[in-house]
Amino acid sequence: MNNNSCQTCGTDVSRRDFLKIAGASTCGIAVAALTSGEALASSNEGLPLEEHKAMLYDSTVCIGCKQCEAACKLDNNLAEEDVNDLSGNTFTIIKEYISEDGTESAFRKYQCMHCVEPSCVASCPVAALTKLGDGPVVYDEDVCIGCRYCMQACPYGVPAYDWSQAYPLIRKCDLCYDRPEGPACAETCPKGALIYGKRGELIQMAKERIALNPDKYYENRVFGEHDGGGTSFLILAAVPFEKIGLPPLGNESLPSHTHTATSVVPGLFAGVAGLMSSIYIRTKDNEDDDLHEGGTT
Amino acid sequence: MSAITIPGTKKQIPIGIIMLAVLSIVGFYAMTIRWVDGLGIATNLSDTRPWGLWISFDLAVMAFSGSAFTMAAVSHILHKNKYHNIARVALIGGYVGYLSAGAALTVELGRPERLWHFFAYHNLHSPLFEVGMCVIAYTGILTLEFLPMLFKKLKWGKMIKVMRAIEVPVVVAGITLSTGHQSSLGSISLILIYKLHPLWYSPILPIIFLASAMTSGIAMTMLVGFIGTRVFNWEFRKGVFSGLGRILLYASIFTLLLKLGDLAWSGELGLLFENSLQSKIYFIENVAGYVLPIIILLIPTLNKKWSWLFRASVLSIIGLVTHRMAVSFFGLAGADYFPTWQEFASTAGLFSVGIILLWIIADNIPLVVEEH
Ligand code: SF4
Ligand code: SF4
Ligand code: SF4
Repeated sequence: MNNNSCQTCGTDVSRRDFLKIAGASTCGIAVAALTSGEALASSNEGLPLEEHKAMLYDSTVCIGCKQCEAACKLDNNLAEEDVNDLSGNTFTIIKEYISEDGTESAFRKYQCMHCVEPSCVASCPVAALTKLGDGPVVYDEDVCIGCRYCMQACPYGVPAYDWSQAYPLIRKCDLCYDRPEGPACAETCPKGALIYGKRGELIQMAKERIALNPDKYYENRVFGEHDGGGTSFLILAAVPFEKIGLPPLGNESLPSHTHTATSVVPGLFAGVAGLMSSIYIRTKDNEDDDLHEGGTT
Repeated sequence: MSAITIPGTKKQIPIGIIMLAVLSIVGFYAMTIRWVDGLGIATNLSDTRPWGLWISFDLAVMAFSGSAFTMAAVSHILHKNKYHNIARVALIGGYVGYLSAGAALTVELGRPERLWHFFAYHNLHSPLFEVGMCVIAYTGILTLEFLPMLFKKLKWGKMIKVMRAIEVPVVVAGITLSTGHQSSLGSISLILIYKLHPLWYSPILPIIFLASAMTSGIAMTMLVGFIGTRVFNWEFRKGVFSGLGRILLYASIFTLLLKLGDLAWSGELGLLFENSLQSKIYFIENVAGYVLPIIILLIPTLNKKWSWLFRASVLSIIGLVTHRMAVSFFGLAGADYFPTWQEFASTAGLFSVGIILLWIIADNIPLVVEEH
């Protein structure tokens, strides 16, 4: 093997390589700059959080008549089906929890929680899911590639598929964002268990209810004010939230866990490119040029 | 090796390749079931179990493809020239690996025809977007690294010169991209903090993914090298395999310590002794993938023997596959899941096509050449 180039793969080694490597590193930094971007895309643009569209569901008022389910099906043109969970044709469902000894029971309305910092929005690689400036988390069916990361990431198990389709799309509640009267389900509720309004006002209303009946509501708090970074679908209940399928998320938003990792990527790119270049230059004079000795191992 | 001769030519096709071809055809048939009848029929996936075997395949194959960048670093950047030949083998392996992971997307995605949306729409904060971009860019880089061999075969002297001029920056860019990409594969799971079992969930998952990908990449390089020496009579320089064995040893120790240290740091070592499916899988993953290879590679009488180096690399690969299966379904909360025959067959089919492609390339392009 001659001194400066490997005959077999053609690596030509010379001092001038420094320039080329510098070029590659710059390329790495350019990629880095591209991926760094601004802050988390979330509700922080657009209306202030108090003004976001929201719903308050008071589980203690709900009688489980399921008229909201029917209204949602009608308004969204969804096929009837026999299911126990949200699905590609069921954007909302009322489920009843009964404790083992039968002394405690409660209803819960399942639907998209319209998170303040939605995991689904943070994970979708092609931004098919977005949070509108006034609160609703909506889906663009022309953009989705069907990776199903949103299904995996949503802590409430909301995004669903119509699995009978060969090329399915994500289906979920969109808070009836384009319906002038507001959500069809809230409009239908005969008991006022489901109230549509501005997030700030609804939280206020919930707190008043708690203040009026201090021992009635679980933990004297409204689920969704802070849980998982906050939601636009707020829930009051008399039973522990976990019993009605609400995960204990803490107050931190889920996307914040990813954000640290995605934000170190630019530095990582620059660092690796720099490190590799400098090692390359340092080691290239002491190539271990041991001769071909025939055999292996 | 027994082989079948194509009538009218002198060309011989090994029986193994014929068997892989059969698997590929069955796999392709299974894939058409997904394309025609849909995911609901072809898979056991559901709304609460949206990812399955195909994701494991992608994650594992991409990790093995990490061999390309690990070996490029060792041979080109550290200037360990004795590894040049085997680095070229790793490069081709990685290239084929990425192509088959890309092919898997055509069944896995709900809307595979929209794969190009990665170019048109982006969410810079999605780790999956990062993975997508890096894979696309890295496949391009691997193509650039692969072209010189092709040009050499075609005797296109001019093009070889062009490629030579850009080779070093291409290698650096490739290493950079795949470091970012192997770790962002781990970032995908960071948001699954309430779904992924604490034995696997960790804030340092990106680093664990990177370290385990490098480890298994070396094991995969050894394995392909071993097979190539048998099938194609490749000859590597002295000390290549025992040298790789040593690198595998250090990488395995590092990765194992990283994983155990992470568990200890978060106070979750107790989970190891829980009698759950997850703890069993964790044991398989780490005993097979790290502890046993480390023991083999530490014993002086074994770590120079072909047969034992071979075993160590196979074990290491088993460990990696188990880990990637854990993060894509075993360790994730959701509906019970067992893949359908279509999922198994298409995965095996894609794997077989990859091996056949590798065989065709190795059969036609001199990957391992006499150095002097
Ligand atoms: S509940 Fe799920 S689908 Fe709805 S906004 Fe939150 S993360 Fe997205
Ligand atoms: S399935 Fe569609 S909407 Fe969901 S994350 Fe993937 S591309 Fe986005
Ligand atoms: S807000 Fe609209 S889409 Fe959502 S559950 Fe109510 S009716 Fe259905």
